[in-house]
Amino acid sequence: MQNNNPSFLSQVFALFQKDILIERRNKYVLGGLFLFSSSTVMMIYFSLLYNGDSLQNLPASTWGILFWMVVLFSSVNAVSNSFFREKEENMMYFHFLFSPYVYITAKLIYNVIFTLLLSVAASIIFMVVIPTHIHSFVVFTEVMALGSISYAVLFTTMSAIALKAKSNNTLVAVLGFPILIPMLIFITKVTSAALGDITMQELVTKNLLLLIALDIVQIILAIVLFPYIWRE
Amino acid sequence: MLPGWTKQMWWKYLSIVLLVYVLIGGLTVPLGPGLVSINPIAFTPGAENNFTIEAVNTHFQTGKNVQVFLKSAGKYLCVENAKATSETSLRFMLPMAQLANADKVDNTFDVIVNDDADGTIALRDALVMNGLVPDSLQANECVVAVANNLHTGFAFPYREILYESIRNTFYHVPMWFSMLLVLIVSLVYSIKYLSSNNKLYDIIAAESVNVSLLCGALGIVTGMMWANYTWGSPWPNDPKLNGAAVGVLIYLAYIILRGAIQDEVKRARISAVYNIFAIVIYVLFIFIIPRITDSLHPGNGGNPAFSKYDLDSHLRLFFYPAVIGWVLLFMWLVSIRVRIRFLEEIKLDNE
Amino acid sequence: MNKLRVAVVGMLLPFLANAQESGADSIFRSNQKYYVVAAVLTLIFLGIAVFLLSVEKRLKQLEQ
Repeated sequence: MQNNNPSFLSQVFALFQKDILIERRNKYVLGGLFLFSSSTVMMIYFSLLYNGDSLQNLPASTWGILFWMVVLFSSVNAVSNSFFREKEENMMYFHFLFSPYVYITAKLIYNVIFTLLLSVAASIIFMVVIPTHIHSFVVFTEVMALGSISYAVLFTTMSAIALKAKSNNTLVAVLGFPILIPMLIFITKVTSAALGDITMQELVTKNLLLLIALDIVQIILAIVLFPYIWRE
Repeated sequence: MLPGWTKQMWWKYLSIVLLVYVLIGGLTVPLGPGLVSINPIAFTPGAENNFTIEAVNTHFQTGKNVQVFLKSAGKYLCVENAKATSETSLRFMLPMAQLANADKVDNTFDVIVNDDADGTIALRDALVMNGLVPDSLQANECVVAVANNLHTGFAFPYREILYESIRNTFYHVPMWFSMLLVLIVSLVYSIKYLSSNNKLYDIIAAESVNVSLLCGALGIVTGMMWANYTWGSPWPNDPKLNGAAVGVLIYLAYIILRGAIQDEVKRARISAVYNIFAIVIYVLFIFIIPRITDSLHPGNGGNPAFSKYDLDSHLRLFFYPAVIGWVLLFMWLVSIRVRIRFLEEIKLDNE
Repeated sequence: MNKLRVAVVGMLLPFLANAQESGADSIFRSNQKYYVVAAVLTLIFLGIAVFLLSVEKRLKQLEQ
């Protein structure tokens, strides 16, 4: 019997593969998401352009905040979509097949990677349209990773909650946004420091550590609490 | 079965007694002596300068040994002809002789008055010296023996900017204490619910959140009034105030979530999960944020520590009872709401 | 339930009155009206307390 039970990791991997497979099957969803972030960037670009703001000298903090807002809205859509597209009978099936820990771990990994890709894509579009100088590439990469993890973990948990509430994306946003504010403060602070805002340079390490701590707490909470959401 | 504390009476009476004590005492104890203004606010060295000082709650005429001196960069300047014109006003003169040979002194002076009844009271950075700093201003050791530097009466400290509004300490600050404490009660009962599936615990958690939202709203209202009066804006960019606003947003979302789920058992479980998740992040947030950013609140950033005034024993005599009284009063509200809900549940079950 | 709401609004009143205090006026305390305000606030609070106690009493009856 023991041998027939696949290990925790291989179960996680199987679920992860399943999500990728679904993503590959309907590519228009993926394309739609990237189009969503591109159009948001263009909206910001045009609003800045025709309001007399110099695109070259956009303050680092403004750049960072606008960028994370774009990522915020795309990731809410992306993450909640990964839950809401599951058919109800599929969910029942997963209930019998997997333990809740396997399911949430797979979802978290999938959503973190997906949000990370989204934010990298959004940052490339953003850089091209609204040029900015990256002062410290290392810090920028770190904050991209940690920020994406914050977004993905929070919205994964909130999507699970909203799914059980038989509600929609709106509830994910309503539940998630207020809790995101603490993380967002650290994320935008570090981002503007990475873009060369001298005044914040000394706070970078402190803020990054706090962000890591908050991310770890979030992941622990998500995994520990998920069985209670999952139970029918 | 309802937890025992909801039906006990002694702590409810205690909250009434404490709050009546805080209301009467906190509103009637007078403010201590303090300096209000000095006129003129600037002087030119090398000329004879006459000043008048206005103060409140002082005893310049009845208190003995009235002394006035100016202080800058650790050095004292003597004045002449210090004379009380009433209990709350003083006149003095700054002779030019002393200023003619001046040492290096800052451009601003603290005005300090001392008498036996009021102790030492100061108006910081009240006087500005015009023009160049004279080369050698002789710092005169005119304050050698100050007989008494403590106010003797029973009074709250007179603080610039705060003035009489210092009494709001007994209403505004305990609101935050209550909000956090009631939230922690709801956290405890959410965890209890998840481990026992007892419907009653869900009711307690939900009603605690309702009451903590009330505390948050009251805290924001009292804070806005106070801020408008002291800092000149009802919503100053202050991390603690913003932290409270975030808390209110989170728990409004909690109420929305409860409204969105029809099934009772599911509603209880899902909202308990959200509650635990939110509280942990929120508590981390409000304890971290004020420590990494400047706050207008005392004890943060560039502001003087609140403990300095909080330590004032007269303020403490009312502050601690106020905190306990308000916390108990809000817990009382929780217990009433819980018992009403519980009775409603029993009635529904019977039908 | 509505009465509880009224009680809650009543609890706001002391804060409103408290905000009327204005600064460093020496006339502030020379005027006896201040003590009337303090007395009224205490009475309002006592009213709320009495109301809460009556709710408590009714709950006790219902629970039996």
